[in-house]
Amino acid sequence: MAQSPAGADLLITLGYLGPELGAATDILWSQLPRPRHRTSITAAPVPEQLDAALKALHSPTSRSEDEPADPEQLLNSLGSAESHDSPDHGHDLGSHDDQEMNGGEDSSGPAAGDHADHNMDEHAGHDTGEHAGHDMDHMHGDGMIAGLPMAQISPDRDGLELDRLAVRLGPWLPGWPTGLMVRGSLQGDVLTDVNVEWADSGHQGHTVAAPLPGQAAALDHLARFLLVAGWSTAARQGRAARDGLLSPSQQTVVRARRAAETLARRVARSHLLSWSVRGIASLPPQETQTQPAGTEDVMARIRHWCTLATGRGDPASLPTISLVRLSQALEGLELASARLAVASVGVEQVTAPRPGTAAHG
Amino acid sequence: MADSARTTAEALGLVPAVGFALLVALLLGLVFAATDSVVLASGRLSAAVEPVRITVRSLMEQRRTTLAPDALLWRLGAATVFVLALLSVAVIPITGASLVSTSADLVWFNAAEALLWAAAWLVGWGPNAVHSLVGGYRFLAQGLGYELPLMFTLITTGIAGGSLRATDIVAAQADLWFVVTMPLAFVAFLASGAAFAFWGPFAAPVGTDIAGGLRSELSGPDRLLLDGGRAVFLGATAAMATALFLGGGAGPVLPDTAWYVLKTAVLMVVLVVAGRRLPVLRPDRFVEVGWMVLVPATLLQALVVALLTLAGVYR
Repeated sequence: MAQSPAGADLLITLGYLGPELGAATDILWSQLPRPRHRTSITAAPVPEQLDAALKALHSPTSRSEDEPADPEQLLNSLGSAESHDSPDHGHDLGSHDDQEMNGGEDSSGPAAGDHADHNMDEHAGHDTGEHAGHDMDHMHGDGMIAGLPMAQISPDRDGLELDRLAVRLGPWLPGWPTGLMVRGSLQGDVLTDVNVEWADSGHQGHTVAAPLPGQAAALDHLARFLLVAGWSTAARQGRAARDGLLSPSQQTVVRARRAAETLARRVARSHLLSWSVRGIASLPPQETQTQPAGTEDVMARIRHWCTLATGRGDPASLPTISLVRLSQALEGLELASARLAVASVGVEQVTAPRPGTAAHG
Repeated sequence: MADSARTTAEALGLVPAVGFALLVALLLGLVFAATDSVVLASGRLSAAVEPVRITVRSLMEQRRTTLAPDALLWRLGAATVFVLALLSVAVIPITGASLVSTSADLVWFNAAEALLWAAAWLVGWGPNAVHSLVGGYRFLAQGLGYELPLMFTLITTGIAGGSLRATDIVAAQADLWFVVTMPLAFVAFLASGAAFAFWGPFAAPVGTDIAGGLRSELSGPDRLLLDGGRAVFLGATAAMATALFLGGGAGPVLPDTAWYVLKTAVLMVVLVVAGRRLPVLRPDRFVEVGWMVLVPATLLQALVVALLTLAGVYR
């Protein structure tokens, strides 16, 4: 699995995509370097179609495809609400605070002000740049760069004046559930104004994937978290054990159970992991909907997933959290902590009331 | 002494010596990358060809760009990482002599790694993208944690060897390998190597949580240069550690070069297996350990070695 479109050759979509995911997929596709191939699998037999996709990637015709759509145009064609957002990391410059796309002429207003105090911001290096395209003064002068508005400055949680960059994390970040989108502002790497939602949740025919059986689901979740935590060997073992559990062969299942046991023990007892991630995103017990014991921070929740991954514990007590609660929990977290925090909880699939959805910038 | 200071450039002529050093550097990188992918594939040996396949694919792949990148500095950054890695190999005495041999080999090695700060930062900043930039910042934060301990460990071997020349340090280990009296410096050196190549537990700058960070916007030849540079640096770390701590080519029966290669290979496997067993350390927490634990520990190590030197342990 690629971590970003830059490292990908093959884009495979499984099942039907709603309008929001579909549009985001087009942008993602525009970011893949050639040679590349795109395929959509909506019906069995899956393995044959995967083989065909691989073959198509290696065939010379995939190199002579049409000129890809310009991502800038794609962004603009997504309509005013979407034009400020970027999926994943494709165009992180994508959107900047609440400034409208046509706000560029407002160069004398607050949008362009305060540049003198700009030396604390994360782009400090820009200020001395001589490259015409990267001269901050120039960009602040017209407020736009490459058709996108510049970031605005506002006070951050520590009282510093920092650039505020509107971002959308998701809908396909490695290790996160597909379709989950976190919208918010980044100042430095601190997330604020967080709003979490599912892509296409309001769309007719929005379907929720059939859940895996308890132990396999827990292993799947654990493997996703380990991927985000940067423990790739353990994540791999988790995925292998998950697949083994779903195998029809009894022997494989037994072996997978043993592997799950080993992995869960290793993760739960890892001092290094615990030292690295503990204390992040503490949730008071009542904030997790079904609240098993010890879900205070990321590490405690992961220990709980480990217990479930060994097949013990009550599978109904998978720690899940509502979108609203999750949004609150992510407020003010650093990017790395937010990634770990979301990966450590199960996110409620039901469409909860979504405050402020219409108001997002 | 005059004999040990001979360089491969003097022995082979400049052009063949440079070619040989390049070959050694690329082989070090390739072997490291192959070992790494075998360990990542849970020991499946066929995964060893992955680096070759990825290299070929990267050479044919389109170069990506982003909206309003700082293209010049971005491309330059990735290329610089690779060039610095090659340069660091120039002072490693694999055949008993290195491409260049100066009275400041250790400084040369350290300088290649210190310039990496700028190169890695440019890679992070160039594409004008959040995840990439966060990766660049993580690298700098991590650098604050490992840089001083790395310098102290290098200088510790210099104190015991009475010289900053790599071949002199190897010669000083004729009776006793430095790893015996400076195990802490040995471990700190290998850890620093992993840290400046942002690999294994120190891979936060290219973390999955930021979609690959420094690598997130790189494709084709640019990605190859960055990843290749990291692999060569890691291979060079193992090879340099062999010279500084494991007596270089010293050993019975086999020729010196064979011993050197053997020790380097074993060290690489140990480094990869140990590194891949661990989760990524968050830079903000690692910096604390770097300053509160590693700096005092490596300073203490240097003090002990200095006292041993005064006592005449190293001749």
